[in-house]
Amino acid sequence: MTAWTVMLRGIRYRAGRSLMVLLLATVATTATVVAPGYSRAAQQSVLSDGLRGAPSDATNLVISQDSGQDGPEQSLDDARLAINQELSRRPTLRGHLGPGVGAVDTDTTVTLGGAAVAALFGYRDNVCVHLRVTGRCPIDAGQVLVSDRTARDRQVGVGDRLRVHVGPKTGGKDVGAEIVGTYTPRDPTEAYWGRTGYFAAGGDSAGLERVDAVFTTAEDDVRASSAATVRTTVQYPLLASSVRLDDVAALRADLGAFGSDLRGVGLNLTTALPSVLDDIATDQAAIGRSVPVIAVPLVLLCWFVLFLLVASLTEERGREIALAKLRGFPGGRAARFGLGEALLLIALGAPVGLALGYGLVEVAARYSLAAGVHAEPRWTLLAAALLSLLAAAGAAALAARRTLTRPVLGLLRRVPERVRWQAGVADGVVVALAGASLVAALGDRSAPLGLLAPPLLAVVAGIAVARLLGLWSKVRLSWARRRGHLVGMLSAAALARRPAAHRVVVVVTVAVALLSFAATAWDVAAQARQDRAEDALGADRVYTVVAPHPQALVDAVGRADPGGHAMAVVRLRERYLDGAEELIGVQTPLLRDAAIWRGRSPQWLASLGTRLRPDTAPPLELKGDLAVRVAVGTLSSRAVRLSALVSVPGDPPRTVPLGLLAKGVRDYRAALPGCASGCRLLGFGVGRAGIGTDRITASLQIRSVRSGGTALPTGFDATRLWRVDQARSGSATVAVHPGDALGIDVDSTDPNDAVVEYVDAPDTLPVVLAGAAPSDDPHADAFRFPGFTDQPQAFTVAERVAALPRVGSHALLFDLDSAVRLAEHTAGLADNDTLRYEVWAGAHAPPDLAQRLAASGIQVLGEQDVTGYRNQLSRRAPALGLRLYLLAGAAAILLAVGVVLLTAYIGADARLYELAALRVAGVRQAVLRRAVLREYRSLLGAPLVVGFLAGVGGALLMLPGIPLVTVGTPVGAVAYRPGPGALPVATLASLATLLVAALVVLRMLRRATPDRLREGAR
Amino acid sequence: MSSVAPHRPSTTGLAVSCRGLVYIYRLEGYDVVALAGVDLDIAPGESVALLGPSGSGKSTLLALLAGLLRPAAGRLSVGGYDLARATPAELSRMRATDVGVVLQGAGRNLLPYLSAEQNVRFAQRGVPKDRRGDLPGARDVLSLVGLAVRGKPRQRPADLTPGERQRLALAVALAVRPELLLADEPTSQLDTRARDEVLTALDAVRQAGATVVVVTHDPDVGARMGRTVTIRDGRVGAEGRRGEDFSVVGRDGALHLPPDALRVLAPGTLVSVDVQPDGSVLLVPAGTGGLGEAPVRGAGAAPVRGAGDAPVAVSAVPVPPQPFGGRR
Repeated sequence: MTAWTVMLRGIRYRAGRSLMVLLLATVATTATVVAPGYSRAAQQSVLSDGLRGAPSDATNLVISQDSGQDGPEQSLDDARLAINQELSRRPTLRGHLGPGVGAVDTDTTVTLGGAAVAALFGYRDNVCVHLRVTGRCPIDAGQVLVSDRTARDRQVGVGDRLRVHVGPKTGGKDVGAEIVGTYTPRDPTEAYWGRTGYFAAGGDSAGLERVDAVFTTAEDDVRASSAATVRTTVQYPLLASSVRLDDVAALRADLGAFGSDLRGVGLNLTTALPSVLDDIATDQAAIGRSVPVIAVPLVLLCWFVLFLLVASLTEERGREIALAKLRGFPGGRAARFGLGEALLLIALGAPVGLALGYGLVEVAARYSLAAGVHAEPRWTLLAAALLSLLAAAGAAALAARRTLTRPVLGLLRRVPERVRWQAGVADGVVVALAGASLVAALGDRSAPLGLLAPPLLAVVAGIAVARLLGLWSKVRLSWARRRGHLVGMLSAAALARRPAAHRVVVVVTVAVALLSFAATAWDVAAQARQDRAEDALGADRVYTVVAPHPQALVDAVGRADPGGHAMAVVRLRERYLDGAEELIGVQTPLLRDAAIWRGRSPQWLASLGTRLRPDTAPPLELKGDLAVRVAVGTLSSRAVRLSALVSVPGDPPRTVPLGLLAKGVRDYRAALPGCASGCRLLGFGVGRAGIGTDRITASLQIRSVRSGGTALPTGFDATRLWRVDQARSGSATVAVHPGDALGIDVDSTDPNDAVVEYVDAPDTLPVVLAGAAPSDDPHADAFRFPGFTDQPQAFTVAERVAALPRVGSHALLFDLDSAVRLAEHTAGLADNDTLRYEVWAGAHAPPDLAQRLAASGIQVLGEQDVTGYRNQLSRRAPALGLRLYLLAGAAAILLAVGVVLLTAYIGADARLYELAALRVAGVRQAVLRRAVLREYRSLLGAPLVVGFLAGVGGALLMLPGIPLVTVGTPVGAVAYRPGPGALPVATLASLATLLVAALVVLRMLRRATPDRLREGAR
Repeated sequence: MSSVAPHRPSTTGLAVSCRGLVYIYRLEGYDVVALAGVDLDIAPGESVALLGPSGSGKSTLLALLAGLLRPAAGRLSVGGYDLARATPAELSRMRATDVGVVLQGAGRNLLPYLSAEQNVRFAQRGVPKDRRGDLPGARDVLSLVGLAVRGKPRQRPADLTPGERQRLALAVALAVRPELLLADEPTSQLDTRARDEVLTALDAVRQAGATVVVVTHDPDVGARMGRTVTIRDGRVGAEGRRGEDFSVVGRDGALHLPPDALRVLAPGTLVSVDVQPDGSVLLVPAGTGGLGEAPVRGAGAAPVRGAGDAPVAVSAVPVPPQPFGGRR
């Protein structure tokens, strides 16, 4: 028989307890292994998410050369050759890049349909694959593709010819080409297109209207003129999924060196990848700091519980160890006999824990981290397992030391040794350390160490509860003795004199506090993520779109969502002082149903919408033509002309001549091309025919205005609806007389027309102001600031808020329609190419809104929704850390239940013996049961309540300083809103598991029958 | 007992010597003197039963002999070991090789998860490896106590009868063929048959030459041991030989009177001690005026006249072969 036999038989004999030691050792190793494993996987997840979530034009590598600026012009093949040579020296970089897309393009003037327009003339690899082509793809020089939009607007088609002027106006070269096909991009947002503005129709370029790019498959056509500035680019997409953590350093190094190398051969590298990696590194560093801090309490708790378990187990084996000593086993051999079982189980637990930890990380990676992230078998996991093994063995040795060093007769004694003064000192030291650490953690709550504060608080609370429970039990015992209250006496005695009760109370308090904190933090963080997502988006869904002008977007949204749950939004960024002011125009009548404004009710939003939209006259809509009946009274000899001022959406205001005025009542007419879908009448002009400054006079009455065969509600009788536009009228003397007909008297020597405008826009625009007013007085209620035009306009503050949804804390929100009407009177709106268009959709908007918008002619560039954004946030560093915290809390509760059961089972023989003796002495079973129930009610109830309070209190204390959503930005104020979430579930689960543990113990203690008193009974 | 094998390789036995042995239990707030100067010599190969009322110090004396407690004062030697000065390692070595101990309660001597045979082997593991070759086989040890039959060696303690368990406990103590066997209440809680089985096993040990010291309350067990030593109030109160009890004069001249003599001479009584020419000793209570009637002479005869008014004649017991200062 070997020592192994004895050990294995002992393990088998104590199968339940041995299994618990194995489980605890496994859990301890698992927890230790999970820290580096999860940290690594979470960092990889952040990397993968960050790279995938970044705009492709940020992560792409664009290598370019502008001819004439970057040295000798290179053909695309030359550039490719040079790039490939440099890339071959950077294998890491090359390994993470997709196939390069080459392109050559230049700005040209294209003559098609008899008109000259500006267009990008370009070659791009495999362009036809990415286009939906009507006709065919060019296969030779002199063949081109134009966009369907261009073909429609310019009324050209397949087979027509166009002329492309390549190079400067003088010195350039014309290239004749045949349109062999028309195209629509399959997906203009796909990474293939890069940052090149191929589809920028609608803008203006050097006085020419810009149309979508004209594509050729002949590079030489693009390079037809040596005087042209030709941009050669090769764009390499980053294969985000292939980038692993270990690659990042080499990737950064390669990027730096690659850029330098390319400059040497006349090529430029453009990429925002280093910045993207920097942002990712911030999150990764946060994970690297927080995960170990989160894992430490669980690992320490595991070791502590293991310590308790081995201590109890060794104490229970005291008689066996005494036998070994009695038979003359030397000290070392007796220790090996006493500790061998625990050490063997701990050693077995290490590989099991390693495998389990690895598996857990893999499961977490598969189900909660970014796609493609897996647990990585690295040496750090082995090192963690080894560390855990050594620490667990150390804890076991420390735990067994007291028993192993006791003399034989001491070990044979049935009565447990009293708690010694050293235990009090140990408690004091732990409390002092915890207190000091707590103060340090509170000093800098945003530091990762802040996460240690709750467990520290829990330890202090646990020790305090244990001590108080001990004292209270002694008082209760004394009271019960005096009163002869048997149940109270038995329960109080059990609590007062068992050292195990102290340990159970500490462990349960710490575990419940950990889980409560984690659950509270998770709920608060989940709410904060939801809030952040709603704040960041401003609506349930937000579509980034391309629109030719605001009205086009408004019309398209109206068609796409007749129910009114989506609204058009136009944004503009105006520089102001050192920062910028975000201007945002929204369809205020739809604000209630389309927008999310956290903390504001729908009624408030509806009311705000009303306040932002001043009561103004309806616009005068023109369609197709304009007919004005005018009665002219007096007229100067100099010919006087009547004109209408018309706003065509997307264009500057247009002056439409209606004809020379003649005395008497006449109808003046004009066709309005381009107004089939609707224009607006801005006013009337009276001026001289031709140029000059000689005096003109006219007195006329406009009796009616008709358009598209319908009389317009001109409101001539309203006093302030028509007024003189002094800014345009110059020195002219103009008088307006409201009435049944609009009377206008003009006496002018000014070369410009005298203008009478229709007032359908407010003079001043009510706004919701976020932050300080962009004026000299930051608290001003009224100020002037450029709106959608570059001309300052008047704003009044209707509401002040700290921040506006989606746009932040330096912003103005106003009614889009009013702002557009104001801007339409000048050319500024049409000239403004910095407007950004979005569509905000409420939860009830059609789910296929993107397709509907596209069908309405609105190009959708991207879509974000609150759920998706929130999910993105839930994979950022703080959420990943909190997820582990929650897991640690749950594990802690299971450990606590294990401790409760173990404490009961390990002392079971002695306890059953006592209870059996009490039964023999005449104590009824019911009394014993009530006593045990009362004992466990105190033993588990007090730590449950105090642990819960410590956890939630710790959360309220620490969470305002802890970044819960994104790194570096604490939530500031804890907004815990009770409801279904982790905290109620955790509380109920804790209660249920501890209740089950208590019931199991009660069931076990039912075995306390008089037979127990016989020797050898088990 | 049906199958106790009497054959056992002979041993020489260890001598035991106690001189003024004192042991004090230090409890919270007060001390209890368990042994208050025990003088006792046990010759090699002798079998001694320690008798006495509960709490008299029998088990404490046994624990001291086993090296499980250290004397507070006095001298104690077991064979060549000076137990008052021995290091823990020496005491361990002594228990591993020379002294076998049977604790009170058979189960306390056994590992419940090992078979009878394995329990014996476990007890042999304390012996240094180089000396294990000389140890008897587990079956031989079990045969000494009659447990080497019908699968008993493979049975666990819980599967044995109480008597078999106790014999197994004895076997475990004998596993290293000790020269001194110390057994605490080896027959308590056993029925007569089981007790006889155990006593037969003890006889076999004794016959093999080992010194045997047994703590017991059972006079029959004492009678089987040949010599009984009664411990009273922490001292050797009396000795018995072949069923007859004698008081023992201590090295300091102290004499513990038997209870019936104490009824005559109450504690505090002043007596004069007169040695008679024939070797008997008369204890005369003060105030009785002399010896009175002629004392009864003869071995074991002591005239008693009544408390306080009659001299007590104590005949000198023929000196037993028990000199102080036995083998060291």
